[in-house]
Formats: sequence, structure tokens, C-alpha cells
Amino acid sequence: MRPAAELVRIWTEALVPVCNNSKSHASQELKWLLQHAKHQSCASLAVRSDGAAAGGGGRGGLSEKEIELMQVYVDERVRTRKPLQYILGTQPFMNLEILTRPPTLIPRWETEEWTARLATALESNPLIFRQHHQHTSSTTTPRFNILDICSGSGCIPLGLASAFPPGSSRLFGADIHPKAVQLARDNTAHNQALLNQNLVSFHQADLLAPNAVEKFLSWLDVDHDSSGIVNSGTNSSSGMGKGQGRYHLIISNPPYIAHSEYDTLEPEVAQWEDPKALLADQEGLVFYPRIAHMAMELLHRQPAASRSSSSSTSSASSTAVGEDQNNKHLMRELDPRTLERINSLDRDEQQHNNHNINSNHNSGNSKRAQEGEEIDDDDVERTWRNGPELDRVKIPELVFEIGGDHQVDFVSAAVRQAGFRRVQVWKDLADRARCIVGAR
Amino acid sequence: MVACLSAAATVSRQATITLARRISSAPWTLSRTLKATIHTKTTNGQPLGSISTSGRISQLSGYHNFVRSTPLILTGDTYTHDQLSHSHQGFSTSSLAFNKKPSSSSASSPEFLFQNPMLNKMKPKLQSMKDLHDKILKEINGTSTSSADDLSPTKFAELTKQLHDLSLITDKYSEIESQIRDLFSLQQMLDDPLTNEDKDLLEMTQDEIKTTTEAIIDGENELLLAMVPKDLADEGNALLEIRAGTGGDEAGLFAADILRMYERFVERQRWRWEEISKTHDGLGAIKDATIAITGNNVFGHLKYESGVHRVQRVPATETQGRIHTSTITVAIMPQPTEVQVQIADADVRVDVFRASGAGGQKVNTTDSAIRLTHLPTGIVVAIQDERSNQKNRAKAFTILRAKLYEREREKLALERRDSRRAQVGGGSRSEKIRTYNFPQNRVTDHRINKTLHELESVLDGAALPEFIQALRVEEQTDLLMAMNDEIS
Repeated sequence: MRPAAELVRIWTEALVPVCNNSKSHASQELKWLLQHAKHQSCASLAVRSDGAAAGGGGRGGLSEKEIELMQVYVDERVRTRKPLQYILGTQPFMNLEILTRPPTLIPRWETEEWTARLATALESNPLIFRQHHQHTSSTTTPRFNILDICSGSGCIPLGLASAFPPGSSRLFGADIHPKAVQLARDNTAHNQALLNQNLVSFHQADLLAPNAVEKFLSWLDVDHDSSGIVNSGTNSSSGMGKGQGRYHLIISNPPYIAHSEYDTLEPEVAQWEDPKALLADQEGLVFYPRIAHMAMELLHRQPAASRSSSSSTSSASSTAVGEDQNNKHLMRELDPRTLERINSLDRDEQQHNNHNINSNHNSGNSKRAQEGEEIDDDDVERTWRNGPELDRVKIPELVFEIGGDHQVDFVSAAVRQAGFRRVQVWKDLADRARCIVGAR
Repeated sequence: MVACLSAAATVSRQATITLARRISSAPWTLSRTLKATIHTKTTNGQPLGSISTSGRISQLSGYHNFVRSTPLILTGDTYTHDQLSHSHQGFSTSSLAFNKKPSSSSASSPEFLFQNPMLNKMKPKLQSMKDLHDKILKEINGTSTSSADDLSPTKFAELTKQLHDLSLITDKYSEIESQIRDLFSLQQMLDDPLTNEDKDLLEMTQDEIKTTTEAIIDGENELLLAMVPKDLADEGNALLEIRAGTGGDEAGLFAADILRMYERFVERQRWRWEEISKTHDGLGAIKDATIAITGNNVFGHLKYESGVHRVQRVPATETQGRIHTSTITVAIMPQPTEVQVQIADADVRVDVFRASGAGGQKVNTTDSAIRLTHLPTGIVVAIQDERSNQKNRAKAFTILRAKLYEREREKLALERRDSRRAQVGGGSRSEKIRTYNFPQNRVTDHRINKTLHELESVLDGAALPEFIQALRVEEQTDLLMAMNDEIS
């Protein structure tokens, strides 16, 4: 027992610097590494069916194999600053276990938090799921279509699928990186039993490509079984004619870190995770207006909230971007500089004027614009406290994860400008603005 | 007839057969059955066993019917209390008393007395419960025949529940009443010269008296326990909290031993064991641990475990062979449902690890600790065991809910506190309840002064039920005493 105790002490101390200098957190990380080492050595013993070597394990003791593994893990963790999740190979996400492999972005706790919140909001909303069940009689045609752009490890669509009613949804993930797509597919297989027979598939696509919208829409018409990617054992005829298929919800957690911030990132992030999954031009904002506009084309013509009373033909015209009275009204109230930024980003991402936009996000003007419209501090607060109950955004149609409070003004303006009339900010547990949620 | 019975018994060895017989010639006509227990015998007359199990009847129905066709003759003399008190074969029936009206009709039941004087005191209460039971039954039956709007569904459900709860007591009451009558008629049989002539029949009757008397005593105990006020939390799940107290590493090691004891016990009970949090040094010692235990009557079984547990032994680290004393604290809390305890979001402050900067993609923290502060009470719960702070948050809320529930229960108990309150299970957290002495291989529970000289077996969870059973009896006795005080 003595040498093991000594080792534990040495390892814990070694881990302290990579654990925010917290001893209690270091011993927590050590516990997870030890569990992993024990698990790994058990697995390898089982393969060798070598019963004799299992001896040292007992109460608190460590086998040679375990010590060997631990020394590798602690060294990787401390010297190369390898993220714990890459060493362990997994990260819990809602009730799933998401596989993690460099360089695909490791799911963050903030993402898990809002995904769980979104799942509850949607799942408990009778306008979405009960309605679908009534219409689809006995056949379990998946009807709620969700697209996650920049899906990475796939945690968001998989997490949602695990929380939705059985067979109620189809969830699609798009990522530009083939390694991410592969990992997301592995994750689908890894968590298959927990997905409630909801169809989840991942595809490689570049959201900046000119035909991106067509590509995204084409997935809805593909028979899942023939694609060979998807998972359902049952025959899933989509039940929708070609071209008719559209999405009900667009989600994205795009790269949002500014290049200027890259140097401030801790080594676990900067040295191990894909910069393409982290960094975005235009102060980290380049993707938001683009995706918001694409979302308008990808979503059903009629917002989900008004589809139940489908007689209102007047609402159809209001969704056309730019021509809507509401939108003009909105634009007038926006801070001119913010508006300029959106337009310039929208027109041409390459020719953007970088120094022009620095540090004017929190100007008083734009704050006033917010307060006049849907977002104000009260609203944010209330939404947060009320949990999944969404007052203004009854059914979210666009959900963006953002980098923090400093991106609220720009992203919410971009979302409104694209044609989403109701916009909300969701805060995370650390009280930071984490999501911009839009509905038409 | 006896020959027939013997034949039947010889064929169906092994066990006791319970036969139902209708007595038609008893001094009072009772339209019910008499249970007669017949012990199986080998050919040389030695009993093989004497366990009466009614479940055997179906298997033995052939014999049962056969015996049934044979008339059993009883004579109808009446007996006084004095005659009954003659001791037969060493078991006493002296406290049984009948105030029987001779040759009464079936309508008027004879008054009888329980063996247990306390039950006799409670007879008016029992009778009123029986009346209430019959009244509710009538009301419910009335509804089913008349129009449906007599009773609302909620009222109906309420009455059904009430009826069920009452019938647990009144059924037992009626059962004992009929058993006492059975015993009386058996006594009559015993005093019949005809019975005394037949040795087998005499023996059978004596056996039958013995088992009936035992059944009455058991039944009376059950009835008493059924009347003890119930804690609804007993039926539910519980949280177990273990904390190492004084004694350093040795206390931590003992905390691990106790944790293992409960884990084994939970396994044996086929309950579910879910670790909520555990702080340990990675080498076997535990600082504290919280476990959620799910199953039937978890709290009812474990509630007596709350308090300080003390260990006396030579620690593994002790070089001079001295015996150390260290302590740990165990707390058992009922685990309420989300409906039972609702926590307003606004009342809870949730703290997470907050990295500098804006978080999100920029930071990959593995610090998933969650701290909940319940603002109205100041209760703080911190959990860091899971790698997901969502999971830590859910666990922290489970604990917070249990703590708030416990607090509420304590408040209610204080309000209700009367001169006599059950001491066991209601004692303070800091009460020293048990000592585990390794050199003497014993475990002593100080509340009931019970010692078991099988330490290993206790720590393995196997002998733990012995303490639990004794503590439960103790608590119920306390509660009965309190009831007794109320009555008198």
C-alpha cells in the first residue's frame, strides 16, 4: 500500500498545475484517470485471459500494468497538456457517452447545458411532438427535421435524439472536416441504443459552398436505408415528396473565436483541438449572418407555431426577407454601425474592414435597440429562471451558440435581419450569454 | 376417521397439511372454517416437521376432499373460564376468556378477550374502526349500484385507500376473533371423554390447540403493529450519507468498511445502489460518501442506522499494536419525489467553475463541480464527482431535495413532540449508536444493548438485519407505549 500511496501523492501534485492549481480538482482528475487505467488494464487482462496478473488490484492497490498506464496518462496530461477527454476517449453528454478524438472539438459543458434545455423545451411542447403523433397514425414516420451545421463530434443532434419521443425526428449534422464526420458517425453507432429510434445522420459539407442550401435540403429526400449511413432498422420512407422536405429547426455552434484571441487560449485547446473548429474571421462572427440567411431558406415556409392554424395566408408574405415591414422597422432601430457590419459581412466576407468594427458591440445605441425590441435584461433573466418555458420564442427555429456577452448584439441583430422576428438570449450556468434563439 | 387422516398424512410426508373443515355440530353454529393442522408422521410415529403452509392445500386437494367427506364429531358442552385454564400439555390458555351465552344463535357473537391486555384496552377503538370500515364499504358499494355521480372519482379513490388501510387492521381483528373461537371449540373437544379415548385424536387436538394459540399470539402482535402510526416515508427510497469523523486515516478506512457493509446489505435486499458522491484518497479510505438507495421500504429498514458508529481496533498503520478508537457518522434521509418537494428556481443559486474569459469553445475545463445554495435555508450542496456538470447538478438537486424534506420532517416532529416519543430512529445525529470492537469480535448497539459476537458477518451485511429487526421492535414498542399512554 505504501508505494501506491506515494505514487498517488506524486501524481496528484503533478496534476495540480493543469487543474487551475486546485488540489481537490487534481485529485478528481486523478480519480478519473485511475478509473480509466483500471478499466483499461482489466480489458487487456481479459483479452490475455491472464488471471494471475489481476492480483495487485485489491483494496486501493495498483497493479504494475495500472502504474505503467498511469505514468503515461499523467505525463501526457502534464507535459503535452493533452485534454483529459482525449486521454479518457469519452465525454458524457446528457445521458450519452460521446467519443472524443483529436482534433475534433470536445463537447463543452455549456453546449451540453443548452442542448438539454432545448430538448426539454421542444419535447414538452405539444405543438411539436403531440401534433406529429396525431397526424402520423400508426406509422412512425419521423417528422421533426433538425439540421446542425458544424456538428463536430455530433453531440448536439445525438443528445436531442436521445431526449425526443421515439421515432419522432430526423436529425442531420453537417461538418466540413471528414474526421469530424467520421467521429460523429462512430458516436451514432456508439450510442445507437439510446437514440429512441430517431434517425441521426452526419454528412460532409462546406457551408460556404454556393450550393450548400441545395445540398442540405437534398438530405431530406434521401432514403436513409440506401445511404448506408443511417441507423434505423425499420423502413423509413420519409413520407414527403421531393422538394417538399424542409427543416423545422436549424442549429449551429460554429467556430466563434477571433484570431486575436488565439494566443490567449490554454494549451489544451490551442495545441490539441482543430483551429478550424475554433477560429472564425471577422472577430469570430463571420458565420452567423450566413447561417441565419441560409436558415430562412432551409426552414419550412410557415413557422411551426402558426402551422396548426394554416388558414392565415397573410403570414406567408411576412417571411420574405427584407420586404417585411417588421424588418424595416427593426433595421431602423438598430445601431447603424452594427447594421453596417452585418451588411458588409453579408455582402462579402473577404473584403471586410477589420479595424472598423473593433469594440463597439456594447455601445449604448445598440443596447437601446435591444431594449426596444424583444431582448432586454428582464426577459433574459425571466427566461433563465423559468427554465424550459419559453415566453416569446414559443418554438425555436434557429439556435446559435455564441462566444459570450460580447457577441450578443451582433448575432441577435444578424438573426433579426435575416427575418427572425422573435429573438432571445439564453444564459449559461456561469451567467454568460450562450445562445441566440430565433423564431419567425 | 383418524385412520383416514393418518393415511393421508403418511402419503403426503414432509409437511403439515392445513385442512379446512366446517363444523356443523359446534355449540354455536359458525359459518366458517376451522383450520386443523395435522402433523405428518413416519410409520414409527416420529414427526417429520410441523410447518403449516396453506399453499400446500392445492397440491393435496385430493386428500383434502377425501378427508372432508368424513364427519368430524364435536359435542356441545359449554366451558367456563376455570375449566379452560386447566393447562394442557404445558401451553397455557389461562388468559383466554369467553363470556359465552349458552346455545346462542350465530347472530350474537360471544365476547372474547385478547391475550394481550393492551389490545383489550384498545377494543373500543378497534370496534369503531370496524364500524367505519363497514360504513365505507357500504358507501362504496352503494355507489356502484346507484348513479355514478354519487361519489367523485377522487372521493372514491380516497375512500378506497381508507378502506384498504382500515382493512389491514379490521381483517386481522376478525381473523383473531375467529381463531379465538376455534381455540375454544378445540378446548371443548379436548375435554370430551370421546376424544380422550382416542390417543391419535387427542394428540391431534393438542397439536391443533398449540398451533392455534401460537397463531393467535402472532396475530395479536401483528395487529398491534398494524395499529402503530405509520411513517409514510418508510416505504420509499433513502439517501445514505457517511462521513469519517475523529481518527484520521483509520476513520476513513472504517468509513469504507461501513460503506461496504451497507452495499452488501443493499445487494442482499435486491435494492439499487447508486453512488452520488464519494471523496476518497484513491487508496481505500473515504472522507465522505453519499449513496442513493432505491427499492421497497428502504427508509423503513435503514432509518435506525443514523448516528455515530465507533470502531475499536489496531489500525493497519499502527506499529506498536495499540488499539485506536475512531468514529464515523451515518445519516439516513428519506428521498422525496420531485412532487413531494418542489424547489423554486429563484430560491437556488447555482455556482459552477467559472473560467476567466468568456468560456465556451475557448476553455476546455474538466472542473465540473456544481454548488447549489438554497437561499431561504442556507443549505449548500456541492458535487464534483461526475465529469458532466449537468449530472452533478441533477445529483446535487436530489440531495438538496432530501435535505429540505428532512428539515421539514424534523420541524413537524418537533411540533408534534409529546412526552413520549419513539427514541430509536428519532435520536440525534450525534448520538453514539454502535461500537464495532475488532479485538473482541463483537458489535454492540447501545440503544438496545444488543451485542452480536460475529463482527465479520455484520460487516458483510449478513447479520445487519438482526440489529434492524431488534431496533424496529424497540421502536414499535416505544410507539405502543405512547399509544398505551394515550389510551389510559
